[in-house]
Amino acid sequence: MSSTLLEVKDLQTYFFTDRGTVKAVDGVSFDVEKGETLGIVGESGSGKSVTAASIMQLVPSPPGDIVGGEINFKDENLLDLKMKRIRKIRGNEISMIFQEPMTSLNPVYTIGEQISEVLRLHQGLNKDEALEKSIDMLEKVGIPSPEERVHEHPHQLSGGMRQRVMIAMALACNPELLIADEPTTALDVTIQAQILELMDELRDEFNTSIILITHNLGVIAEVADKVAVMYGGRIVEQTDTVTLYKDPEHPYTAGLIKSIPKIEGSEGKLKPIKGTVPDPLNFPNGCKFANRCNYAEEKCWAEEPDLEEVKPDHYVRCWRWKELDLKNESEVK
Amino acid sequence: MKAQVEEEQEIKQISEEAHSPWHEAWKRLKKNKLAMIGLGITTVLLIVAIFAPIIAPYNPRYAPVIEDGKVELSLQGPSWAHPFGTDKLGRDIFSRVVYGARISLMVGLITQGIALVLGITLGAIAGYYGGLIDEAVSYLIQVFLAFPFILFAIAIMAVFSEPGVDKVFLALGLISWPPLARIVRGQVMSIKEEEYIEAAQSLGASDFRIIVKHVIPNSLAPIIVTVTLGVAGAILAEAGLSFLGLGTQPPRPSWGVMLKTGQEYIRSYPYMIWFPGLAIMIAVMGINLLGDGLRDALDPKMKD
Repeated sequence: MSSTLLEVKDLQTYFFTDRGTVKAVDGVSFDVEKGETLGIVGESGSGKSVTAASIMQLVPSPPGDIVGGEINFKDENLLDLKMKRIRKIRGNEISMIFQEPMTSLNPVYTIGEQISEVLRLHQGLNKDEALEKSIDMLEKVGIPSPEERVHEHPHQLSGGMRQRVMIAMALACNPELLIADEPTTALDVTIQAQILELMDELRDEFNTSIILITHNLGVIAEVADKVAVMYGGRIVEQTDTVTLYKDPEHPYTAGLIKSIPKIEGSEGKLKPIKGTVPDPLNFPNGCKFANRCNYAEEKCWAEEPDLEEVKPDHYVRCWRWKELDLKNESEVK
Repeated sequence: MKAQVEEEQEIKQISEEAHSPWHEAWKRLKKNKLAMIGLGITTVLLIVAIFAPIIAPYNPRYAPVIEDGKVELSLQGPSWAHPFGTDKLGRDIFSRVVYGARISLMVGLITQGIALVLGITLGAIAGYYGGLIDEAVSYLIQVFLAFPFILFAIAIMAVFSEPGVDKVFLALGLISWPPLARIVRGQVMSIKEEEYIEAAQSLGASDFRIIVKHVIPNSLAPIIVTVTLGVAGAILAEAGLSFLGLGTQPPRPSWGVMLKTGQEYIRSYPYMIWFPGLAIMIAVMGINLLGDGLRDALDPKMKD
């Protein structure tokens, strides 16, 4: 087993609103090994983005607050560190790329200036060195004629180009962990594939670990080594990518897989999961998925199941995983 | 939808040259005739103020010839020697108007400088941190906005026991920061929600760095507009205060002082009022035209 880079233990991030406490992340644990890609999947409101923000300590406070757990990065618990140390880690050892490439770059600076800022901040390069390194990075992320592009402003680039610039910024200091929060959601499908491929290549080149956050299981299938499925602030299933697709144990995971549009196959109808994610203040008392689950029983409504290890390295949070055979259903559609 | 927008931008990119947002604004400003007139007037004003000693033919404070205690050149009409005529004490009105530009611009720039420092600092802090700090600053803004400006000026003069142009700087500076602070606060509040601010945080930038390098440059457009209009407002206010005897004191040639001394002769010898009055009007109008033009040019929503 390779060494663990990041270990999140029982993370709890709550939002204290006027209407009550929202447990956006409630007892989430996972590991990321060196050079590995972890996918976190879930619908809007499942807590996946808040998990990422918690690792970066970017949870807006108030109203948000990390109330419990540990985030161990290398030898340090990030939650114990002073802000000054956190700022040294951000962008240098852990970087993040965001969903909206159109708005994630500052419109008043050239892209060269923006990449340079990170380099000068963390590596103490001077202006010329930083610019040179910026051009290098732009070339690495596949931007044509980087010597000219480096002097352009964000509004002169297309969405895909901007996301490449974001990736260049994030990787400029060669971080050990890259958190990508829906990096391809705002992009065209063709560009999506290119960006994912690029992230994969760069991971191999720099041996960066990646946490890929998305609602799109198709994206996960392409690049992730293992997956955590989140629902209602909790991990409901966690295993390696191949197992997850072949042998999902949680009805929610099976539902997600079924709801991926497929071109082949005779049945032309999509099978979405019924209903929507409930208001975070009004989750069912028992299993949080109970109100949308086809298999919910009395017990599911009464009490929340624990995350159980069903096979080595395959965890599921469901009372009925033993009885249910979701595998065939998801394949047959 | 998104793809379409992207495509449109691609097309725009090809048609437009590679330019920064400031270049774009300048191009828009150049198309605005009134704004260019305003820019012309402002430039002339600046040149006159800077080169006043070269431009003015006579000493603005003292009459050139006094014989036997009599002012020979008193109250002369416009002539080649004195294009705007002379005042009661025989001083060349043209020279006084030229030096008056100096005082007016100085008042405008220094008061807006004070307002800039106070307004940006307080507004940015309030907007960025929010919460109690914001409430305290907002309260302060309300108090200052509710204060009648003349009363405030009188109070400042009273504190220093005598009026003078330096107190005008102080009074006007202290009274003109709240609108700016309010604008900056609003800008900062909306800009700090932008993703590039979160991105900057995620790259390890400190709060100070984010405010100075990312937030303020993005709110520069409304700041520039407010300050430009503020310069015009300050020039008017100085003239008003000086006219009331609360501002610049004679023999300093402020336009307001000239109006005050000229009012006695408004029927018999109106040149003493006309020229400084015209100067105030043209200067304020020019700067306001420029300010309005800048607002249109810098507002991205006005693009088309």
